[in-house]
Amino acid sequence: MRVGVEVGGTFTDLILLDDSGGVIATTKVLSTPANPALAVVSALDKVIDPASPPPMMIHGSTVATNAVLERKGVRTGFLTTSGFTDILELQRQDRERIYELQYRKPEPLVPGHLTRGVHERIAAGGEILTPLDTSQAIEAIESLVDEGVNAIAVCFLHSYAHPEHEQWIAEAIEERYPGIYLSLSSSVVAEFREYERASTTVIDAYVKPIVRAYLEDLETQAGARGISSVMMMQSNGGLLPARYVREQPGRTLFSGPAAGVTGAIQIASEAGIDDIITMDMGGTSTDVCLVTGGRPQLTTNATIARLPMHVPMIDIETVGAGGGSIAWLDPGGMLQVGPRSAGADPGPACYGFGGTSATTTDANVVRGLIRPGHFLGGELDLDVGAARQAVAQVADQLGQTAERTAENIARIADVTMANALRLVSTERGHDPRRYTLVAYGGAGPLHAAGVADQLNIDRVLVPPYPGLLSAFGLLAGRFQRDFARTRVSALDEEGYRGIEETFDSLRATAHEETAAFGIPPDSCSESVAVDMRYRGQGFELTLDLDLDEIRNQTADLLAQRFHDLHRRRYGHATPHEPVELVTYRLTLSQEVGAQVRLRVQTTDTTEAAESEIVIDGRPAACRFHWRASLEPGFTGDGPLVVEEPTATTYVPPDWHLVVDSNTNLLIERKGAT
Amino acid sequence: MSDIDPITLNIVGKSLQAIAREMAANMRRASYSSVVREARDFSVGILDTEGSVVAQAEMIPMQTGGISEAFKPVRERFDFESLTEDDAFLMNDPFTGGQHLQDIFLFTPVFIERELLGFAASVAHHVEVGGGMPGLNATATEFYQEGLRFPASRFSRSRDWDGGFVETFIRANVRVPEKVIGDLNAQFSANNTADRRLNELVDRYGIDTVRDTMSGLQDYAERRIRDGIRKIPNGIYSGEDFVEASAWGLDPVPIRARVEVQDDRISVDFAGTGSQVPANINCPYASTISAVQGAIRGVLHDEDIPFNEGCNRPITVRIPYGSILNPRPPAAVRARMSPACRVHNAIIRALSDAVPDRIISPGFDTTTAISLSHLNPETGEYGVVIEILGGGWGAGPEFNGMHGLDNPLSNCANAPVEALESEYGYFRVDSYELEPATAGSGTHDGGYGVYRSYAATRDDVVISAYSDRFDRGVAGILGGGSGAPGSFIVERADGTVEHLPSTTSITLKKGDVFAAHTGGGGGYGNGEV
Repeated sequence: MRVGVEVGGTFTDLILLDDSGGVIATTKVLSTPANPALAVVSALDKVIDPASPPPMMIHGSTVATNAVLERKGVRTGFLTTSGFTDILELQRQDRERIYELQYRKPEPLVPGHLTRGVHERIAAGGEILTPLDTSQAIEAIESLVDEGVNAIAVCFLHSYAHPEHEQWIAEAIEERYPGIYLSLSSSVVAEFREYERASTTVIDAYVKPIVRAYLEDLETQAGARGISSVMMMQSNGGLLPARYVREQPGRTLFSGPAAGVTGAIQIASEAGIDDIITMDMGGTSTDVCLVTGGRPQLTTNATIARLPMHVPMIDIETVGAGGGSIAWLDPGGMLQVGPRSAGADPGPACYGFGGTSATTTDANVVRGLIRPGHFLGGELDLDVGAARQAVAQVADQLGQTAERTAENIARIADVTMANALRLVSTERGHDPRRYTLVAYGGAGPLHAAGVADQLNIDRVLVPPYPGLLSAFGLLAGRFQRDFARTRVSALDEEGYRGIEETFDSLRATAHEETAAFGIPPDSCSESVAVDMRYRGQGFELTLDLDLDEIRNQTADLLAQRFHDLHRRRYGHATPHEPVELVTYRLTLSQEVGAQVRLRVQTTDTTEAAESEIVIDGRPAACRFHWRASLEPGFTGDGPLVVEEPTATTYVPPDWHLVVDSNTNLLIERKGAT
Repeated sequence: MSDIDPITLNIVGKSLQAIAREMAANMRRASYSSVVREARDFSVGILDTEGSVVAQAEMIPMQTGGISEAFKPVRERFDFESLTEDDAFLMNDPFTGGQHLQDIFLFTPVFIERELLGFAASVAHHVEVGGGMPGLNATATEFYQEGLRFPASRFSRSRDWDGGFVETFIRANVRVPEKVIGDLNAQFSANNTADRRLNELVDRYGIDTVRDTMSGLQDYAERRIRDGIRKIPNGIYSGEDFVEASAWGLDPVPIRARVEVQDDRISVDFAGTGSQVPANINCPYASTISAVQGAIRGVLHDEDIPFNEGCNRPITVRIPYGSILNPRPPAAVRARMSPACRVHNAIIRALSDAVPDRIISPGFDTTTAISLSHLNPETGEYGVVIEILGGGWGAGPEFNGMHGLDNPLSNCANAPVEALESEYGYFRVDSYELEPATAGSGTHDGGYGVYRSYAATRDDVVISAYSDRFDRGVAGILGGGSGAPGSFIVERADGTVEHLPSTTSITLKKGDVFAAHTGGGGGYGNGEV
C-alpha cells in the first residue's frame, strides 16, 4: 500500500492506494502551518487501519518553500572567495522594473555581517592562483560560529568545475562543528554564474535545519504508526527517500506544482495522450507546464521571493490569475483581473467572509456556473447577492450589466492564463494546437475551455478528483535523479566520438549515487540529452539523444538537428557556424510501485438539473450534472456543467463532453478532428 | 482616437506585450557578446506604420525611449508602398534620431499577406563598431573616430545579408566580427519572432482589431500619463546638475532644466545648458528626449503604464541646437549617458519640492564603461569585452539608497566573473565589492558605490574607460549629504600607482591591475526628523 500526503497552504490532502494502485480512501484536513506534521498525522490517523500492513508514504510539503517566502529560515553564514564578499548584496546590478525610481532590491537571506571572505582563488582553467589559507579559513568559520549561525553556505569562484577548496572547508566544518549545517555550491548546483549559484546554495543552507527537524519529527510520528519508508517529491518531479532530501532540501522547493504535473502526465498517458499542457488553477495563481511525449520540460532557472534558485525542476510558469484574483479598473479605465487576490481570507465576496471585491469566482457565480448549495460539495454556502453586488460595482464603472462584466472578468482571466501557456509552448517552439489541455485545481476545469479557445486547442481533459491531483501526483511519481556534466568541445568528428565516453563516465557517477540511495541502478531506465550552442553563444539548447543511434551516425546529423532546433526556437539558424557540445545530461528513473488508477466511483444516481447561466450577456438554459453519476461513455453537448466536491467543469456551447473509460472528462471542440 | 472596446484592447494589448517579451527572451538567448547576453544591453519593440512604438519589453530605458526617434528617418526617407518582406533597415546615426554609434537599430517590416501592419524593432549595444580604438575610443573628439555610422538605410535581406554586401562590409570593419554579426543575427531572431507572432495574432483577431489595439494602447497610455501628471502641483520648477570635462581640461558643463507643469502637460526647456564640447560627452537629441521621459516616468509612480508613443504626447521638450544636449555633427557622443543622467538628475532636483515623497536623491547615476581588449599577436585576432558598472543610488524619503545599481536610464546587469574568465584569457577580475564609505549621509543615507578590479594576465591589454562624477560626488537632496566621487586607479606590477582621469585609455602589462571605483548616492533630508 502507498499513501500520498500533500501539505498545501490551506489543506493537507491524502490519498491511500492498495497494492494494485486502486484508491482505498481520500481525505482532506486543514493544514497546521505552525507544525505541519500535525495535519499529516491527523490525516493519516483518519484513514490508516492499524491492523493492516503499514503503507509506504510519499510526501510533498511546502515547509522549505514557506521558510523562504516568510523568511523564517535559520541564521545562516556565508563563506566566499575574499575580494568578492558582497556578491549576495551586489546581485546582478539590474532592476526588475526599469522606471521605478524608488526601486528596492531583494534583501539577501544572509546579511553582510554574516559573510566572510576566505583567502583562496582558483582560475577558470583550474590553476590555483591563491592556495587556500587554511588558518584564515578556520578563523572565518569560527567567527561565524561565534555569531551564532546554525548553517553555513560556501560558494567559491569557479568551484562548479574545481570544488577542491570548498571540499576542504566542508571537512574542516564537519570535523570541528558537526552540529553546523553545511551547503557547498559545488554539490548544490555545479553551474557557472556565481551570483545565481551562491543564491541557490544560501537558500539550501537557510532551510536545511528546518527541513531536517520537520522530517525527523514526521518520520518519528510515521514510524510510530508502523510506516518505515518515507519518500519525498523533488522539484524535478522525481521521488527521493526522505533521509536524502535532508541533505539537499533546496531541491524540493517546487515539489507541489511538480506533483500536480506528474499526476497529470500519468492520467493523460493512461488515456493514450502524451502531449499535454497542464493548467493548475488555484486560489491566487495558475501553474502551467508543457509535456511532450510524456516528459515535462525541465529547467534550472527559477526564482523564489525574487532570489535565484537554480536546481533541476519541472519548467512551470506561474501567473497571477486564480479563483480569488480581484477584478479592478485601472486609472486608464481598463478592466484588469489580478494579480492581487482576495486569498482565503476574506476570500471572494460570495464566500460571505466579508470580502467586497469582485473576484473571478464571484464572476462565475454571477455567470451562473457556480451554484449555491453545490460549491465544494455544498460545504460552503455561497452568498450570490454579495457576488452580484461586488461585480455590479465594477460593471457600473464600465457602464455594463453585471452579467456582461462577469463574462469579461472571466475572459480576461482566460487570456492571462493563455499568455502563460504561450510562454511554455509557442515561445519554446511548440505549437499548442497539437496538445491536450489538462485542467485541474479547484478553478481550472471551469476556465479550461475558455483558455483552450484562446489558443485554438481542440481538446481538454479533466481528471478525476481535480482538486486532489497534487496528492495523487505524489503517488504517480517515480524515483528520478538528473545528472549533468559540463565539458565544452567542438562538434567535429572528434568531439562527436567523445560523446559516448562522456556519458559512460557520467553514468558511472550516476550509478554510484543511485546505489547509495538503495536503488539498484541497473533496474533504472535511462535517458540522455546534450546541450549545444553555436560557438560564442552563452546559452544552449537541449537536444534529446539516442545513444544507439549516435553510434552509427556522424557529427553532421547532430549538427543538422541543432540547426533545426535553433531555427524552430529563434526563427534563425546559421549552418555555416561551428557548433559546440556543452553539457551532457543523464536521467535515471524507476517506478516505486504499481501504476495508480484514479477513477470516479460512478455509483451516484443524482439526476441532472436545469439551471440558468449567462451566455453573451443573456440568460441561457444549461444542464448541470453530478460527476459521480456520469458513467463512462456519457456524452453531452455544451452548454453544460459538471459538478463534484472539489471542482466545477464548464463545457461551453460549441464544445462537446465525453466521459472516457477511465472516467476522465474529455471536452472536445465540435467539428474538430 | 480609436474606439476599440476596453476589454478587447486589454486582451489584444496583453498579447502585443507578450510578443515584445518573447522577442527579448529570444534575442538574449541567441546572442553572442557578453554585453548583450550577460549585461542585457539591448531593447526591442513593435511599431505601427507611423513608426510609433506600441509595445516594448522592459529593458534599457535609454533605448526603449529612443526607438521611435530612431525610426523617424526611415519614415521620412523611404516609400513604404514599395517595401517587401525582404527589406530591412539599419540605423545608428546620432544626428538623425540615433543614440551613440554602438547602439545599432534593426527595423524590419511586418506584413500580413501583402498588407503592412507595422515594424519590428530591436537595438543592441554592439561590443565593437570599428573606430579609433577597440571597444571604445576615449580620446575621440569627433564621431568619425568612434566607429561606423549607418544613417537609416534600406537593404535586402536575401541579397545583402548572410554573405552579402552589408554583412561583409560590417564584418570587415569591426574587430570582433563573429560577436557583432552574431548579435545582429540575434536581432534578426527577435524581429522574426515579432513577425511570426503578429501574423498569428492577426489570424486570431483580424487585422482591424490589431490595428485598433495598436492605436488604442497609445491613447490608453497617454491617459494614464496625463492622470499622473495631474497629481504634480502646477508650477515652474528649475533644476541643475553638471557633467565633468576635466579629462579634457575643460570646466564642468551645466545641464539646466526648466520644468513647467500645467494640469496634464509637462514641458521641459534646457535653455542655459552648456554648449557642445570637443569630447565624447555630447548627448544626441534622441538620448536627451529619452532621459526626459525616463525622469518624468519615474516621478509619476505608476509602474503599470505600458510604455509606448502615447506616453510622450503630454511632454514637450526644447533643446538648444549646438548645446551638449543636442549637438551638431561631428560631435563625439560615446559617453552620452553621462549628460543624459544629468538631465534625469536636473529634472528630479527641479521636482523635489513639488513631489518630495515620490523621488529619491540623485545618486552616482553614471555609466562607468570599461573596454578590455587584446590583440593576440600570434593569430591577429582581437578580444574585446565591454563592462558596465553601477554605483550607489540616492536615498529615498523612507529608505536608504540601493547599493551598486546601474543608473536609472540604463539597466545593464554585471557580467558574472565566471562567465568572463571562462571566455577570455587575457585578464582576470581581482575583486568586486561594495564601498560603504562612499554613501552620502542624511535622514536616509545614499547607497554604496562599488569597486571592481581587473588584472592583466598578458602584456598589452588595452583598457579604455569613461565615467563621471570623479571630481565631485553627487550632491544630496533636501539637505542630504554628498556621495563620494569615483576614480580609476592603476597599480603596476612593480608597485607604482597612477590615478587616471574619468575618461582614459591605458595599456597594461601582465600583472598590472586596473581598479574602477564608482561613487555613492546622495543622502535624503538633513538628518532632522
